[in-house]
Amino acid sequence: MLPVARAARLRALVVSRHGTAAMSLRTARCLHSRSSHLNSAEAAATAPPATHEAEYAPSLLSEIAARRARAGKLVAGIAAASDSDMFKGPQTGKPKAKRWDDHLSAESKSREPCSLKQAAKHLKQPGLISLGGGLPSSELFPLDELNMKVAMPPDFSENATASHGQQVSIGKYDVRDRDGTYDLSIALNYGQSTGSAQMLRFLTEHTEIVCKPPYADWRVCQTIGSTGALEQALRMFLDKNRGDSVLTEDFSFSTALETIAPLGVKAFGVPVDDQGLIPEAMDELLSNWDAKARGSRKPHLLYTVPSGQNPTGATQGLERRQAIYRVAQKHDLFILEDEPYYFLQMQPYTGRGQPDAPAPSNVEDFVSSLIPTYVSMDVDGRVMRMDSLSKVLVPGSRLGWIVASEQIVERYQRHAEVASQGPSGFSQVIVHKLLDETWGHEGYLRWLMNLRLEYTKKRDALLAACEDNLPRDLVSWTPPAAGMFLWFTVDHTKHPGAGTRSLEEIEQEIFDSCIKSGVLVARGSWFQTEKDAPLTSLHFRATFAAASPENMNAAIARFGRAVQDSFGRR
Amino acid sequence: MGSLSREVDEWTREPNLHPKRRPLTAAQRGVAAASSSDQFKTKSVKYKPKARRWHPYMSTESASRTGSSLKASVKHLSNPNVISLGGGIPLSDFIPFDEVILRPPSLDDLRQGKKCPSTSRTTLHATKHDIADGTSVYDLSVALNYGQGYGSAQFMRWITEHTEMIHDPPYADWQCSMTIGNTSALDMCLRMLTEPGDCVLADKHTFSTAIETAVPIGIKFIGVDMDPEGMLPDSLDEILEEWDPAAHKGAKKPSVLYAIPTGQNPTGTTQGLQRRRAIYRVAQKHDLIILEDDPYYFLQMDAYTSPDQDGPVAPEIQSPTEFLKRLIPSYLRMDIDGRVIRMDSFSKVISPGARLGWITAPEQLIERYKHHTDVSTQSPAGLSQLAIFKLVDEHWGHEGYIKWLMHLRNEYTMRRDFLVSACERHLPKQVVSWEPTEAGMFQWLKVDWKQHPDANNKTADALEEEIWLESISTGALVGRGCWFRASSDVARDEVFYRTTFAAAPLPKIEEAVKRFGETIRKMFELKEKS
Repeated sequence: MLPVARAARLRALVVSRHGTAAMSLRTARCLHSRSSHLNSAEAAATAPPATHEAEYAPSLLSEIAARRARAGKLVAGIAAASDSDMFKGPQTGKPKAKRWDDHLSAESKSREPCSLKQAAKHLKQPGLISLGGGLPSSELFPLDELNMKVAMPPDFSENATASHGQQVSIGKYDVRDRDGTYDLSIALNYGQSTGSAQMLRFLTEHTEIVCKPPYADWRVCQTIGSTGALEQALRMFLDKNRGDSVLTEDFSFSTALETIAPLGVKAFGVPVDDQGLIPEAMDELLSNWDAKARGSRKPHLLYTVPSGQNPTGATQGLERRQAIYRVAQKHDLFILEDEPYYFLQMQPYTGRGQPDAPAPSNVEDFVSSLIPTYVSMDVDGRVMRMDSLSKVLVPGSRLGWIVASEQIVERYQRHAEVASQGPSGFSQVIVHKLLDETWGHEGYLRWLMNLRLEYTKKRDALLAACEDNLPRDLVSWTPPAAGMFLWFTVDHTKHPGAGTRSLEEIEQEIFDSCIKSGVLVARGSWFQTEKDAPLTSLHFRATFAAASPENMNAAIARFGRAVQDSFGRR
Repeated sequence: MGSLSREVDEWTREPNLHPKRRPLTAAQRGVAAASSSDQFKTKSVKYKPKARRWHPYMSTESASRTGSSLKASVKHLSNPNVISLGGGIPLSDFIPFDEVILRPPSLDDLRQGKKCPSTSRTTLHATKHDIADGTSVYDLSVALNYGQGYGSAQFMRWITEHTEMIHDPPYADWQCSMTIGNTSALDMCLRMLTEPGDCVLADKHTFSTAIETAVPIGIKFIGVDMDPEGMLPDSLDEILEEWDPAAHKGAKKPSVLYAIPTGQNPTGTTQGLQRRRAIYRVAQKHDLIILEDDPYYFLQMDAYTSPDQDGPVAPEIQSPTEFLKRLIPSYLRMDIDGRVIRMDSFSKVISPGARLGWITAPEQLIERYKHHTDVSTQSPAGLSQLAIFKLVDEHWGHEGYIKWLMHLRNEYTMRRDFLVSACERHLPKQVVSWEPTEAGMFQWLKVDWKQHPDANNKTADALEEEIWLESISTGALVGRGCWFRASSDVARDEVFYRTTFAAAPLPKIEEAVKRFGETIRKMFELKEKS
């Protein structure tokens, strides 16, 4: 066995021992060829020269770099159309995605291509002068240059960035004057709803590194963030006139629920445990679906947040994901995989005073340590993955992307061009300058790796605050493996008002008392999927993303007192 | 229902370009801080009436919106002692930008005709700690984090002041919300005010993207006849007076009018003040909500004077006040009932890539709109907000922004003059006719297809396509008239092409018009130009 493959297997073992996920060799990825080791004089004496054996896994990062070099300079001017196929590696041997015509809504099916774009195919004609599109001349944009100072590896901290961050500059005509690939004259003008070709290239490659979709015709399309993407996706799949509904966790992201409800369709909750959705429960729900009693036909759509689920903080392990995917196959569900916290998978929680789990030592280890995505197991092309930079880079960019089959991405695009018109050009050019031109794929992965360790510290601080300040007989929690949230379950059966007062009332009382004493936590009822049903358990959600360790300690102490007060423990 | 009591004198009252600003409180400067236009209005609204209520007009979808419970909880954070473990908002420590520096061109250089690269050394700085240091009210720590759907308080202040300055809505409870551009705003407004199966009134020829936004929602556009001043009020009135649901698949009488009053896309027509008032009166009579889509408002130009004719040349505008006085009042400005949703955009006047605009409407409608933003657009991009805020608020101020718009007016006037004079030089007038456009980006050309040798055995649409393809093969791409038909009901007995003077360099415009003229001559078998 080659050293690379052996290392991968070792990593797989390490990961499974920590209980995060059992990784198969197939899903362990290798990013760097180690052939550079042979340059070392010492290694040359013992190691045979590199060869190409069938088993040899080429480095993905160097393969991407080589592919870019072969393709030549990317030429993409104002509103240049592009798609992922221009940037993907070979997809030989992979099947095509299934078609989803029956799953689409009437609204989505009726979308026609933009008539102004009918002219676009003629623009390839050499010498053609267009008086067609109402695009302003870039000459008339009142901005000549944009400079910024950005964080650099290995020390991404604020202090290091302030003192010796990298200065980078984006000019108006970098493409024309400085051999650049992207500049203000392009970014500040109109663009395609897919986003710029420049950014699409980076995201397509990133998707290959992280997801490696197992079907051929997958594509990437940029979004204005996952909230916007979710709204569009829901309108694409759900039709109130058809009696449609959507399945999700029984406590689900409140904004998602608030997006679903006005569409006139119902959301149904699937029971969860500390690994999120329970596949058996989902199967049972679907197998015994009574459309009449439910007031909706059997769902054909699943909305799930697999990593660091909002609000419960639960993370589905690999086997859990595989089982859910099989249930989706059995009942022909399309899956909306909302993954803003995917890269906020943290180090395993070892407990207070225990030595930390060893951090990934390089980006290969880091990527291998991540639980595979639904897209990576999506042999049917039944998944739309929603990615976002909001939680991991900069929320104010309003920049995200989806990964799905060509058919689905095409429908998505048709909607985006008559709604959002694609993400902000300022965001795209700034983020491209950072991710593509300054950091590159490896630098971005190092940023994410650093974030993993930072969030691990923050989570551990919140867990310590809980251990110090909360009455363990009343409040329980599971240390989250990913995301930003810790989910408290409060044992309402011990409440003096149990049986006489509603859980809503008790929840309200504790929430009000929290605000009064100076802590804002989110109420469990905000996240209850089936709003008509009475609340049957008492929860609060706390985040470790926003506050300093000292503030977290003070805040949790206040929360603990609010609970005790309500329970008459004073 | 009120009457249009405002007289022309009042339109021309001098706006105050330096209003006494309302301060931004500490709470309004923070991450995702809440705000509303009422906090930033500088004029009293005490004697203004309140807007009409629009409950029956709202779709089930819009009426059922509750807003975001998480965003609503941000209000508790106005108490500085409350520690938030609420929202999943990252710390700004984890945002990898330390400083952003913008270099805008100098307005003086532009006025003197100096082209890029500008010699300006002016730089606009933003860091993560400008608010803490007291050097700015807006910084990277706020702009790069999550925000409210209606935009940052800092930008809302500028937008509110600007709206008050330019449009001074005559009712009390108007509000603004930022948008991610007019296309999205239209999508959201249509979903707010219509149900599938409804009809919406629009110009007979209208913006194709607007049609494509409406159709999948299940909305049909009904085209209103136009003349060189745009939509005809009598035609609008007639359609509504004679509305018969049976003739429209059971659709109820329309309650929404979609209008592009200035430099209309595609026809380039601009409604004059009297025209706007007449349409507003029809809207009052039939109780319509007007969606005023006005991205070209500030691209109003002087009347075209042909270089071949002796005519008065409009004197160049000298001051911002004079510039503003020459603008035709908007629908918002005459909206005594609160029946207008005005959509403004930075796309045509600063940068389309910013994806930044705003709407102005009665509070009741803005509240619905804001609830929708929370679960869709989330907020306009912070990087866009930051860049444009630095420019229009901190660097230019209101007066500087008007000076920038004056520069644009000159540029667009020059481009329009160039295209129209190229049409005069190269197009056969016996077949092609046009009214020089007075606002926007488009020149609409009418082709008298009946003079075509095949007019008897081919349809207008077929000839329109043939001419279009032939023009492309000679190297000139123009827009086809049929793309812009409000609906399939609009008569197919005319041939139009849309050209723009916004995008191409001047020599290319000349060449393209020449090629198009040659195509027409060839297809219509006219003599070569002498």
